[in-house]
Amino acid sequence: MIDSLIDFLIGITLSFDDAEFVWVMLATLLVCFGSVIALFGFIRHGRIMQDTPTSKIRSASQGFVQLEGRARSLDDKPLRVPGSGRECVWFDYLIEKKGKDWEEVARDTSIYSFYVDDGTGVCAVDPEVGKVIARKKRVWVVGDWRYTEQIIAENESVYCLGQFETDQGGSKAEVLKIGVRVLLNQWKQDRQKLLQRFDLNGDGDIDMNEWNQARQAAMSQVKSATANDYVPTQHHNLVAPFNKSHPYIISSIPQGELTSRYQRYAFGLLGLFVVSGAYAVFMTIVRRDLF
Amino acid sequence: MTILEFVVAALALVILIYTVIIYNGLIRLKNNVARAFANIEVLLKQRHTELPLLVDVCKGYMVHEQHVLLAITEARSRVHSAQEKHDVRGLGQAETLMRTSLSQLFARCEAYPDLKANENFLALQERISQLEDAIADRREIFNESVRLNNTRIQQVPDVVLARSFGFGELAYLKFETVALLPVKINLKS
Repeated sequence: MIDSLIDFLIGITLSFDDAEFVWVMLATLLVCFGSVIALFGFIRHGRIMQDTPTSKIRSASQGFVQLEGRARSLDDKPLRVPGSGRECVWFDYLIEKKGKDWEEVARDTSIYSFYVDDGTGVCAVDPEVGKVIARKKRVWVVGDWRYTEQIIAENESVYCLGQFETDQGGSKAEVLKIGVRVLLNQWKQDRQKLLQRFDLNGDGDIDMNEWNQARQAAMSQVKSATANDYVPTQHHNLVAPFNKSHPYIISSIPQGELTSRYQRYAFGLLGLFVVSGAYAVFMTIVRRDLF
Repeated sequence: MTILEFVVAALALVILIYTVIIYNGLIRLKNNVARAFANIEVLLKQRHTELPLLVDVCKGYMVHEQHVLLAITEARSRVHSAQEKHDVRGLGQAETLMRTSLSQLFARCEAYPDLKANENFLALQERISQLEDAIADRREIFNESVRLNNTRIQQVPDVVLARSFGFGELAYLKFETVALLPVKINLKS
């Protein structure tokens, strides 16, 4: 069996002319080096996933973290996948039409953020630059049309790895400033009323002094309206890691399953590396005359 | 260079890269533990600053409970000392003492309606109990980081590098969690 395989490989290798040999050799070396680079990438990312503890959102520190929770749409308004119309928080779909082969007609990936809720808090996740891995994948054919979609559904378990950031929200002064601006804009809509109230010298115009009085009136109105309402709000976000060598992953496949998958990929790539490396050496031995 | 030498060199390079990945992984685990501890320290420092304010407010009202206040001061100093020395075991013991003392203090406050009506006291009580919850949460992350480190350095092939470069087992932070504020039951829902 092995003898016949070796004979077969020798036959193929000897059948290449010099130019073909160079190309095959280059391709083999490319596969060999490519697989070893990808192999170490999977090992590294798998280890980072295994080695990072899961944080609770309410007490997570700023920096690279791992979160686990349930997916929730922003403002409780789930997205709908074009095609099937299913509700979700993230989607990736592809519509193809049958011609000579399946030809792509439409394709899109959601870039909209969604929340991860772990019971202690919520954190907005930005899927645009992250690697999103969805468990739910469907392919179906209707006539000449083929639909492929992957989604992360509302309330589905999600596992995320990325940079945790907390936006402290507006200070009371900022909230008041915005409130005053909004109120003054509202007053400006009704010029007659504004003149009635603040045109103290009756010249039919609002001068600087009168405008300052209007501002003060707006400020005291906003202050009394927000006196008991102001609560500093924190917003947590998960974004791409500042350290570019760290992965940014959003997955509806649990961590354990994902790391096992990475291990399988790593073993596969190890096999590819060994086989392509061995063949490169084999080719060199068989065509020693060229070196 | 002969083919054999080339093959050996290529394999040596692969092994070297793998070793670097393992070594960097061990460093990352160690740094995760250090970072988790630093995150606890931030909260401990905040509490260290707030506790004297709480004790000062209580002093005026709880004339007959000086021993409880003294216990808090003592626990505060033990926590600080253990934290300065990076003594995780000592910190765990001091933290248990602190939580027990705080729990006693808040329980005894029930007998002082004037103190319970003091806004400063209420704000400090709320703040310290939030800090205690956050410390307990961050302890979980710290202990998880320690567990990951301790597991990894016992596994093959990491154990070889861990022993060669002196990566040792790290201590868990253990303390008893005590509820500081009475549980509020909403009978309406």
